[in-house]
Amino acid sequence: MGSSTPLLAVEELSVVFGGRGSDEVRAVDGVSFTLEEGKVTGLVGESGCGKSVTSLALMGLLPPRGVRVGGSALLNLPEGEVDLLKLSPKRMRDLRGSRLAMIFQDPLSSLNPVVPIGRQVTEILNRHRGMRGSAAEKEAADLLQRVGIPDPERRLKEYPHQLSGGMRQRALIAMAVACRPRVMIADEPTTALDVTIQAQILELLKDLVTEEGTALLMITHDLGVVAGLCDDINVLYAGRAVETAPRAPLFAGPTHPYTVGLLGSIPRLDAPRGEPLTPIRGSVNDNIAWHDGCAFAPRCDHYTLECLEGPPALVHTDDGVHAYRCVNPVRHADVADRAVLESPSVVGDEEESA
Amino acid sequence: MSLLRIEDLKVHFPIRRGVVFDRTVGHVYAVDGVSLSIERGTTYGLVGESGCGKTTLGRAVLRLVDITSGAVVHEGRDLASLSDEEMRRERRNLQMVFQDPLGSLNPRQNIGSILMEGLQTHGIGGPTDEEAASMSGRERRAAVLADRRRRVTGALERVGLSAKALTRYPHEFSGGQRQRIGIARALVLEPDLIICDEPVSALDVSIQAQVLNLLEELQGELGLTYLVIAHDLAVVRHVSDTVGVMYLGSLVEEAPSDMLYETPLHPYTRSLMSAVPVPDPKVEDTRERILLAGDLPSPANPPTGCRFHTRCPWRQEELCDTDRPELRPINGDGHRVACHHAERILAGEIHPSEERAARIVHGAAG
Repeated sequence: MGSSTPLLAVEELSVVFGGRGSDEVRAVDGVSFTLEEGKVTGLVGESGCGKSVTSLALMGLLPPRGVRVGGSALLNLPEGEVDLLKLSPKRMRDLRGSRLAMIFQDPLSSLNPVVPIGRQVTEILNRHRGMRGSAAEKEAADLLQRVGIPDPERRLKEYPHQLSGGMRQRALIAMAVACRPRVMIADEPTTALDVTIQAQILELLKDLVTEEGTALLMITHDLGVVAGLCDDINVLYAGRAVETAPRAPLFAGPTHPYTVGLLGSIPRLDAPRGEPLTPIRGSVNDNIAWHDGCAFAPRCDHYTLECLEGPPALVHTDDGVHAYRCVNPVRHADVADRAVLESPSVVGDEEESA
Repeated sequence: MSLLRIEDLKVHFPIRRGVVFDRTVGHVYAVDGVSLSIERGTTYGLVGESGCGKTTLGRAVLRLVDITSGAVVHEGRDLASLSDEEMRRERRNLQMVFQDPLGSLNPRQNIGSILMEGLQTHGIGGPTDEEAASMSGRERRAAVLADRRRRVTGALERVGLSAKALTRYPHEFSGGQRQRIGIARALVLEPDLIICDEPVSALDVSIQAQVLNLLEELQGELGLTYLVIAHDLAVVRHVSDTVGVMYLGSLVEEAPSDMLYETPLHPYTRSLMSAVPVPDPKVEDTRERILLAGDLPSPANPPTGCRFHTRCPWRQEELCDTDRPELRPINGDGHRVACHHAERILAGEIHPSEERAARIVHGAAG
């Protein structure tokens, strides 16, 4: 974590859905993280942990009624700090697309099927950069070229269904970077894609972050993607961050039993075969409310009676970068012998120790 | 003798045009000449990207799609030549677990009825003929029902659900439990072979591991044979004894699971393996990644010669774009590969060309 002021500082974000006559649902329950220039911050968790709702809240895309959003999200702009959660819809519209951009999971349903790609890309240029006619078209072609779409002039005239899945996701990324946003939110950008295409898209995102200095919030369920891309990682469970750390300490010494469980659940390509996986018991539905205790306790192997005495506090380790929300964490010595397996090299990296 | 043998299987879907006259203007070559065999008690993993024909191959084994040519031999009988009725009876021995656990369970049928249906269709369960001879009709029906109940409850317990589930409906269960019900539905008929089509791709990571472990336990207890079809190489490698890699309708490489990982021979397998993310920053930062250029070509108009030559970073001037490589054994220990230049690539004589790949990321040393 650098000494510079963060680009976006999210503090105690909470989103509560409440319907008349039904119990309210705390989808996000006090999540804090920061985004910094040229860095990738990851939000990891399984379905229902509140990661997508977090992104929608930041972009101001939640419906106006039936939702209570709390906390603050301070965006650092040249003209001063603004709180994204308190902006007027009109001001938010100006920021969305120009300063904040979002890449959604399903590229087919986030593109308009009856409008050519070209018009969808120039629309943004038109709205935020005031470009018209052939200038906008040329810029759109440049953008498509930049995200690796061959033959951009032809593609601009085509409709979303004529593009392959990977190409659609590239077009969406082109639209997201059209105004050189300071903050980009990618919500599961590669989940709908094949692995070889996923590798291409991740490489593209990595380049954009290093070249443009954009801050990227990467939302995913795939710890493998996180390991390759993210600088700082927040593991979410039932709406709260249960572990926060830079990626190297997180993968070397996962501390929260949930993180340990997630890592134990993934079959690894480079691990010796035949070792049984160590899954987490039960399902995401087996949790208790955070104010009664740790929501993960019903599925936890490290669970003690202390876990049920109120919400566990966020504990910071001595080095100050690693934090976890657990009263009975997994000691590093316990995981050292199973998490850091001597892995055979993946396709020709024998010179690793050089 | 192997339990299931597929010989030069082809499934081509016609592309039809025209309103009055139904013309066939071409074919989608979904599966185009695949041969493989599955030994009893083992797991064969079929891996590939979307559109490579892996699901069609699995469905063709059960004759859920029409086979264009080739043979599927199960216990000495060619399934491709059976009549519909004979095939229906044969499906008792060949069961399938589908990808979408909610979509493959009837929402209006309770779990008991879903699991019982297979037993009723195939007339399984009930007293032996000798016992039945001394029973009245009513007694016999009661005995049949009791026996089927016992089988259904047994199957449910095997997958970790209790008999209480019998009267409940699919929407009352979580995704992982629904997939368990799908597995129980296959198990209740006591089949020889279970085809699992993307058994865990719709599930969360922690639930995935539970289902994978369950499949493994069941194999240990019941000696089941699996054909696991998935797009996730790490999942396939974890469960399979033998792995086949498919690209555009044909097998490009087949090897025992560990060998495939240690020495992938086909260029496609190598780039596929380098694209799979590993949850370990150290590995991610240091390994070499071969990013393929472009997308999968259309299976309606596959490239000539080697199907992969349009995206292959190792492509050579001769043979690749003219001759279609056969799946041929290499090293003689069960490793088969369909590449003209496999030996030379392995020996390091041919290097991937930077121009043909989108990018090759060399692992940073140290």
